[in-house]
Amino acid sequence: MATQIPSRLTFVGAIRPGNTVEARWIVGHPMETGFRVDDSGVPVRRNVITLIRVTLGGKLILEMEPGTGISSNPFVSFPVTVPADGGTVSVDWLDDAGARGSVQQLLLLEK
Amino acid sequence: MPYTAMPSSIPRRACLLLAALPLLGTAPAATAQAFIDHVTQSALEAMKLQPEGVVMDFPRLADTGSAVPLQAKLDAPAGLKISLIEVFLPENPNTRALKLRLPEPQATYTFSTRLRLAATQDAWVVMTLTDGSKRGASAPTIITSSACFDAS
Repeated sequence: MATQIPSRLTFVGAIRPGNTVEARWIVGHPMETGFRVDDSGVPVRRNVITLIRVTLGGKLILEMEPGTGISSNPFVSFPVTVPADGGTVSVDWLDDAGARGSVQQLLLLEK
Repeated sequence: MPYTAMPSSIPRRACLLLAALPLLGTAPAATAQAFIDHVTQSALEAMKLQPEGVVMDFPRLADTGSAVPLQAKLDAPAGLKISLIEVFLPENPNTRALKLRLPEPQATYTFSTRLRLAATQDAWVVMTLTDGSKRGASAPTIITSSACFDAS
């Protein structure tokens, strides 16, 4: 059974229609560069997240291509403009080993 | 019939160049891709990027290169928008650390992340505008212990 890689998506700012809030995404990924060797001298295979897609209400708003220069347990923050009727922000990722992950968060409008 | 040389109005080198034009058409794209995959500090400096509109928040000194926070605030000039943002670390084995593509170009954009640095170096943020021009800025940092790119 594959190990579930944890990820989290949160928003900072007032979630009101038209407002721009800061979305913060973090994932517990090792981001192995492929340049290391383990204790027995065997090279550790490269495994970094190669593609991150952010959608709002199903529409692509940001596409990222990280490299080995991004730290382990990657963190990225980016702006999201709140639609009039709210919506769901989804972050999907894919790594070198073919593992995928996804996290969704509802933009729950403040009253 | 005696042999006569071709008229010299079209030099041989020009003929060869014309014949090679279809090949030359693909060469710049391949060269550009290689440049983007491994861009050096001197190459970035040679681009003479305008820094206006790029504000970087990057620590001048970091104890370790494993996770150095970077925040960038980008503003496009009037009438233009940002369509692509790239982060380069010229002293890393793979120099492009992050590429952000904005399907809907934005006039302003703020993002932050954590970088893994192999050595003391300048971090570069380069934005591509909707007219194809680029602007970018760099910020230096000194690290006392590099990230784990090798067994040392």
